[in-house]
Amino acid sequence: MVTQRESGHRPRGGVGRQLANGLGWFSIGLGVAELVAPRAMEKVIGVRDRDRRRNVLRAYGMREIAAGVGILSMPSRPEWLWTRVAGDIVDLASLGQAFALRDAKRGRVAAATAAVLGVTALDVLCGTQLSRRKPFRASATVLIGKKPEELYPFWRDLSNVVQLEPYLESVRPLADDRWRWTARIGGGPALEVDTEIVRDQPNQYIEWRSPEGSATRLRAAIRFTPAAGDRGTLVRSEVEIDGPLALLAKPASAAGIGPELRLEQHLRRFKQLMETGEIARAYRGQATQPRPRFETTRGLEPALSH
Amino acid sequence: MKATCWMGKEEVRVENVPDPTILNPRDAIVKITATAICGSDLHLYNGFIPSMEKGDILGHEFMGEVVEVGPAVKNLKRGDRVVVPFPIACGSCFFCRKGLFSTCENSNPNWVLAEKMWGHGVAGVYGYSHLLGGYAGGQAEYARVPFADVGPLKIPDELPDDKVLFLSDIFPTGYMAADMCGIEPGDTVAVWGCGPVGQFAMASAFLLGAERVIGIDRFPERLRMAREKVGADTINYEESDVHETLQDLTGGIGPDRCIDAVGMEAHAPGPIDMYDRAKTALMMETDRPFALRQAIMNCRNGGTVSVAGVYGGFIDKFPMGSLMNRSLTVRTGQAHVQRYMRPLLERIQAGDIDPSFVITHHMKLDQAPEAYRMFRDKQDECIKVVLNPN
Repeated sequence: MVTQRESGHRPRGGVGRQLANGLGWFSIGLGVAELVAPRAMEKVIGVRDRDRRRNVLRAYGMREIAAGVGILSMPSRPEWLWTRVAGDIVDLASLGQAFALRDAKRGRVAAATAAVLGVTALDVLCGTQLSRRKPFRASATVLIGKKPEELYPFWRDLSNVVQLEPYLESVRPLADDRWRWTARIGGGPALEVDTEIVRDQPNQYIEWRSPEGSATRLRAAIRFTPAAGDRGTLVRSEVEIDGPLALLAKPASAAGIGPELRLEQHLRRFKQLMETGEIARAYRGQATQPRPRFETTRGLEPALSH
Repeated sequence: MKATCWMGKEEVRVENVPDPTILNPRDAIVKITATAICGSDLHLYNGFIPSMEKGDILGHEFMGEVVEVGPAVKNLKRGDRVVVPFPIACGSCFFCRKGLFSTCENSNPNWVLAEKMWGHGVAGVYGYSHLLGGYAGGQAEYARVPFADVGPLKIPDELPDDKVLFLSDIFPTGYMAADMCGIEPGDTVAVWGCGPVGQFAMASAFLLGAERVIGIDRFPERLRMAREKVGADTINYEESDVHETLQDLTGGIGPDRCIDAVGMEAHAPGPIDMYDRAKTALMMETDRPFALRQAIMNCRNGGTVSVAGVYGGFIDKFPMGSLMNRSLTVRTGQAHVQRYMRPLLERIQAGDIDPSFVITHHMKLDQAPEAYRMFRDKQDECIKVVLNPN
């Protein structure tokens, strides 16, 4: 059994990443200027030299350098861009105060404000780009000692899948190869997702997707490949979740109870059913009913009532 | 029904629990006539095996009468007398077809859990933690037997329970330990641990053609049993140095085959015992591998080390250099009981061996808590306890 998962932010490359790189160096350049030449900076933004103002500029300089180093060393993390945006707001507030100063050169202050506004726009754009998440993906593979044509029909009728997943209440056929999945975890509300078959290659591959415009975008696929050495069929199951549910999938996955565990369990149970005609279930029959600690045993209990 | 339940470390109780029922088409329900406490049950009793839950029913050595069968069980009927093998195996997966029944892929509902711990899963086992499936055990009045069309062995009426009960585990376990050695004529076989599995490993080594068998232990009653019932020579490791004695007995080359029938809770003479106890207490190793180290160090060049004792996790100071430089072979595994049951039943019927020689105590199921304590503490020269529900 092999499982994989993949999730999180966009990988290296892309517009967001290039922009982040530029903004990182800009941040360091500006920071160094503020830190080592605060007097010159005062001139640029059009305020008179004061000890207090110089110290504020030095502090801002250190903030800029920290943000720049953060962006350059972790280029795919949007958090550092958002610290820059926060810094931009502080800068704009300070410039707003500068307008009110009697000794300020208003033209320069206005120019500086315009420049900061421009950079802020870039920071927000870049932060948004980097924050856009990829859908959550998981997969699992199992070897089953049967031919693909003995395994494929089970998946062509999705109502069969209820046997493999205790949290699944029903999978019902709608019109046009559409299926409605209804799941319930604990006593919680029912969760409904529709899917339609988008690809169907008999004895090889089936792929389902939720229709355009669904809140939770789901893609699932199952692939049957003859295994080497006459050992049967490699069955690979894949799932891709986008939308609000993807945000739940990631922490669940980190806790070891995410979609990849469900996929592994489904495939294990599918294998048991195909090879032995039944799904292994333990009769615990304990004297006391302890709080279930093991996801896998807990997962089986509702299955007994099916 | 009454059942022996694990209630926590060093606490077992006989409790009233719901009767088992048929859950799957290939199940059977067995009314238990005899069941035994295994040395490996003491690892559970002592809290060495993870994933036990309060109230779990213990016991994986049992036999009885079939009282109900599922619709897919065609080879058994109500009233049949059967011995039940401790590993639960489907008989049709890749591993079962290779005869590796204790690694069956389809019998452990918690395979994924075992996979996390050991890299790959193993078969389900009755009453032996949730890692091994969370199945209810057989130290009870009734047990549910999954894959009843594969595992249970029918027993002819003329053979009493005591003679065949150990086909469920310890006789095949001891026999497989000797079988894995690849014994050749003239071989000397040394066995660490003269508990019931060690006794059967020694007896089986003779059945498989060993010329000389040496049992190593510290309890006089076990060493006496090895000498008188099995015909082995013995070493009491608290009285003599094991390495020196084995060198003397083998002319300096060491025993050809060495069997570890001790496992994870080995006791050692001297300071090394403190070392492993400290390491396990600090969670720096999970098992105390003293017998295994000694079996490896003593084995002759090119010989075989066969491990029947149970290990759970990780060990320290494993003599890999000795193993590699001296061309040793290590063989191990939970017994593939289904593979050995029938030929060993034939051995019993032929009179080659009577496995009941290891039994020192018969007790009622109600006395299970007392029996566990007595067996663990080796009181009253206890070597093997058989519990009878009625």
